[in-house]
Amino acid sequence: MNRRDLLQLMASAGLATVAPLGSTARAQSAPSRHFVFVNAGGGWDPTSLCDPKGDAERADGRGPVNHYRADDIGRVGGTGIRYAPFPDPELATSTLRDDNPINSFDAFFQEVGPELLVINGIDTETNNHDTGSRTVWSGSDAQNQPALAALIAQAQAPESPLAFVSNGGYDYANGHIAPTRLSGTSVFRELSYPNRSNTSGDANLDNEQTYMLPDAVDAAIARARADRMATLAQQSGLPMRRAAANALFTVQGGDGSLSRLIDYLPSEVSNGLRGQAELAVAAFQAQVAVCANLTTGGFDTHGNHDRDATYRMAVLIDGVHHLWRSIRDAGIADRTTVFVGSDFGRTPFYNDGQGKDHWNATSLMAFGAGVAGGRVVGGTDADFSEQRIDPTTLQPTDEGGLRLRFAHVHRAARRLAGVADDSIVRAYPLDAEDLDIFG
Amino acid sequence: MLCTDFGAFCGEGVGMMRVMVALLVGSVFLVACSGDYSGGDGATAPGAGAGGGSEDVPLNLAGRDQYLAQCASCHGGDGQGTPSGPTLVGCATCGSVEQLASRIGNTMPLADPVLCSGDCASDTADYVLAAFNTQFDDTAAKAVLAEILPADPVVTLRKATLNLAGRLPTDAEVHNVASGGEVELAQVLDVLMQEDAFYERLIEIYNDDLLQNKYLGGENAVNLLRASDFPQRRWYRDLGLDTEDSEQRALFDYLKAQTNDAVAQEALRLVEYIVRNQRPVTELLTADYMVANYYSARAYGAEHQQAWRQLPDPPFPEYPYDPDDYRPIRIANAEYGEIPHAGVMTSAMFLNRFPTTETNRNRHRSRMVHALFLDTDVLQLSGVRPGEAVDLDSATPTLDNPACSVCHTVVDPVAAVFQNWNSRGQYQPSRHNGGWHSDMEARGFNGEAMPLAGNVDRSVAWLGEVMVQDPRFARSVVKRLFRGLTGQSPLPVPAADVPDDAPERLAYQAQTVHFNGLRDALIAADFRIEPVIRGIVLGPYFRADGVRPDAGSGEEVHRYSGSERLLTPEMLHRKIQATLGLPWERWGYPRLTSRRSDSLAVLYGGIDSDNVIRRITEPNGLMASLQQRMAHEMACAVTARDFFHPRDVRRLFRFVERDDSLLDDSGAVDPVVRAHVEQTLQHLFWSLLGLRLDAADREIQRVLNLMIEVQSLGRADYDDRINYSCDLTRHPETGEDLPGEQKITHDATYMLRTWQAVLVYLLTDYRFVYE
Repeated sequence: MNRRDLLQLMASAGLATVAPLGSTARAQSAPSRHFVFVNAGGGWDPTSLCDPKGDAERADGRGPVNHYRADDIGRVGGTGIRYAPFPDPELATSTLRDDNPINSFDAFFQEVGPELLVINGIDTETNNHDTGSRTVWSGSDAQNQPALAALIAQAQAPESPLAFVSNGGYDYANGHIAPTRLSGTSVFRELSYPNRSNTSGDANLDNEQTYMLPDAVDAAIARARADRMATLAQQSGLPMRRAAANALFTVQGGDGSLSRLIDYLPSEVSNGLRGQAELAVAAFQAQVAVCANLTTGGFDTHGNHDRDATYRMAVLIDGVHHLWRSIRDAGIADRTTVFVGSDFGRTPFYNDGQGKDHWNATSLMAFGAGVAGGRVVGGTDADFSEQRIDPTTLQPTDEGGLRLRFAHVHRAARRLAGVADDSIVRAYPLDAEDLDIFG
Repeated sequence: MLCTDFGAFCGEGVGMMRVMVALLVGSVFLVACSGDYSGGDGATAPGAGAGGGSEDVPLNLAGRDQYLAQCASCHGGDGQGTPSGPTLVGCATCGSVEQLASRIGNTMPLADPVLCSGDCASDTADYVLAAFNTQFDDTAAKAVLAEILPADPVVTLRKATLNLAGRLPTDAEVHNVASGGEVELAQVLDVLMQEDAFYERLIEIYNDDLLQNKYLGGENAVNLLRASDFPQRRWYRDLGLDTEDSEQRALFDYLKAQTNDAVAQEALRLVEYIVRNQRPVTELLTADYMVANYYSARAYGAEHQQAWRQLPDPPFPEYPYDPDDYRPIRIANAEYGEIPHAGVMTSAMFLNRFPTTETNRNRHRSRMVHALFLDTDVLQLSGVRPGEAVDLDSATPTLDNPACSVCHTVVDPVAAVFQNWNSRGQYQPSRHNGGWHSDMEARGFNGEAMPLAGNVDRSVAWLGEVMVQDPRFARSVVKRLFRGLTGQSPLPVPAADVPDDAPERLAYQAQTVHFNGLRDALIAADFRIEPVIRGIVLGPYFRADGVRPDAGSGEEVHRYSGSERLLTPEMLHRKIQATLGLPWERWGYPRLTSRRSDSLAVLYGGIDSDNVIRRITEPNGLMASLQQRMAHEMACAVTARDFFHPRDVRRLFRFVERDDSLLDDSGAVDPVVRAHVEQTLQHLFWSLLGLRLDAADREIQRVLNLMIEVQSLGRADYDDRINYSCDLTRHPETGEDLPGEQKITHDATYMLRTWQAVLVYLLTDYRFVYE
């Protein structure tokens, strides 16, 4: 009995109510589209990145939005994209932070800018971390709302055990697909060849002396296990047990994902966000993953904002730039889309500790397949309050217009990903107008 | 000014902030509720249906409309309460319409108490009393529970011993329960709850919420204690030990580890101390002491407060004190003297794990206290902010703007209670802490202002005393233990518009009946938790093995009936050890539980209590591969080893010898060996999977067929040399080289590797990796 036959048998035995098997009829092929969701954990300050304001004093006496000069704001030629200098210019050149990976945002914006879509002035409708993170990455603050990454992954490759790799951030899937944690590479070889005693880098994996049990025996075990699962499915009188057995079997059969992944893993994986990017790209190249959550934290800069935000933004942008290059070098740019966002924004003024607190207006950046780049949509005023936008031009308007929310962004993203009509995705409706955000 | 984040790390804005207008305008003021839940809601009072025994009570429709519009979002459509508001079933002011109407008129809705008074209050009170406080019909909910078929006592025994104590039942326990049934099972549970492993399990369950293990290792915990408060915090450094000398270094490392880890786990060890000493679990919040071992007591300068138990054979004779001996101490800091203890809430570790900032003003701590001990998620009070709701005008929106105060009225008084504890968890009496913010509500809880007399410098202790009186505290104890033992999250309150007969409502009501029984058992036992654990293990969910074929409730209702759980890394680790007699290790470190960088714990869905704090409960592809890796490594490690021993001391292969070949030379099955093989398989199915099967059972026969296939294939295609990592050349216990004739390095019949294959099959079975 092969895996497909067993799936059919189990479905006929009444297991089709569980999502992983229930989805099998909808998608059988290897993932051909990929999505990356880069999370800046803690709530970033868009005015320190892609929605810069400068050091003009606010009318209400609360000081400036930023400490850098408006004249130092960068621009991407031929686009409307503007970007901040380092919030703390000293850190660009000083030795205070030897581990600062970059010394300005210029390289990223100048190189990626023509492909980059900046969405400014989105109202997260909260300034709470949990709610914000959920809203930004799912489009809704509803408790059971799956991350967009989970919805896309379950729709496009429900059978792939590694369809949704997650390094953290908002990865709630509401049971539709299981996020997989990837870390490092050393463990992949031994997990890819579970019946070999020696899986070290220089081991000859074809040498039968390294087999605890041969592949043929493993295959016999797998066949017996499949028969057992079918029996369990038919005999168990407990719905919860059938569902759990179903979930286990869905991932237990294995489909060579790990061994394919190994073929694409770099010999050494970088640290931090760069490393997460490398693993994600390898998983895409191996066509085992649809979506990847990448995350880096430290953006909750309630104290000494300029110093900390500079460093965290540098790490973020360096990682995203590395991701962009890795995608390009892997030859998968035409099928990979990247979103970069954070829980919410930060106040357009400094507190007594030179920090910035929580603020509901924020931004999202996107590039890659399906994204018309070199554009800015939405906007905020001089005091970093979101502006209403014209639903057609998507530009700020003084007359009427609508308030841009993440529900709008996600409706557009669902269409971009081709999952808007998926039955499970439709079970999580978003109350918002359709806007042509990604072009 | 306004703060609507009580979130994970941070502070919140002083200064102008946007306002989240909470649509949830119910209250958490209608508290002090108690009494039994049993019913649902509906157009007539529950009880009108079958078995309820009460007369139909026409409901006040105006009150119902008002309730659904203004109250249900917090108190639930069925009045049973939600994380945002307490149950209204049997609440303190539910004695009469007048009493409740007065309460509503004066305090409800929280966001705007003048909104509902007069007829509105009377109608609403009338509805609340009729709908939720008349005679309730729990017939349907109880019928659902009765439809769940429990596993037999022996199977339950096995599951309970593995779950609670990480071991298999002894033969005597199995025998006694098989003959004594439920009564004997309950007695065995009482024994289990006195074993050391049980207390470790409790610590594990509580750490999933308290996350104190973040500070294990190194000096992660002691570094959080301020030297000015506790000059001896790193006392082992002051002993003059030469850390270049290997022996002295070993002692130094020992003292450091025992000190740090005891400080790190002091809140968790308090749980252990309370239960081990049959004390009420309310002391979690009210204990006027903390617990320490000798080593952490020295860090606090409190080692002279107790006579510490000594080990008979200590690793370092000059420090004979048992590191597992935790006793109460009173902690005094060098500057202000004895701190006013309030159980875990005044532990420096707890306060550091749930920190605050200058702008957060202890709101995060308030949020966590509500979540951890009152089963209340204050974030759900925040709701959705309507567009354009921006409060630029209020001087103090948290006090002045009802849209803000709906949440802050709940959060801020408790936040203020922590004002004597700074961001580093240091205690500072009020006269030294610079005062508290005048633009926040004063210290209090649940609408009750804290009496200042006698409490000014011990306000957290006061908070603990009032919190444990709140019915939500008992509920939180029950839910935590249920979640920990069954692996199932309690069902959420169905939305108000879910019909009475909807499966999710019935499933929720059935679970609520179970919880209420456990809560009553907790209270009846003066808050000792053993009856709750016993009730969970003997209850319908933990033991569920099926649903009656003639069940009338339908499959959707029973979707959540059960306790099937993918074992956590810790539980799988213990099960491997318990069933095979060997841990899964590499280089002497457990693969599933170590805190080293090469640990597989997080990969297998575990937590590190720091960055990864939510367990993965659904298996994924990597986890399945990890199961297979585990199965191969363990089968490889134990097969030859088990055959090495005489039959009567073997765990696994008790009825066969390794040269008993299932197939004869012609390839036919040897009937004599087959009988022994079947007997062995019966034993393996029971010991590894908890299944008692007849020899003719199809599961046994399936494995028998697998064995035939594997042996045939192996004899034909592979040589007789066992993989070097699976052979046995040294004595399993002594490690000494074995004489040649005792070594197990070859397998001419391929039978040993056939048994190895059987173990791989069983160790990857659903019933091994799930319980």
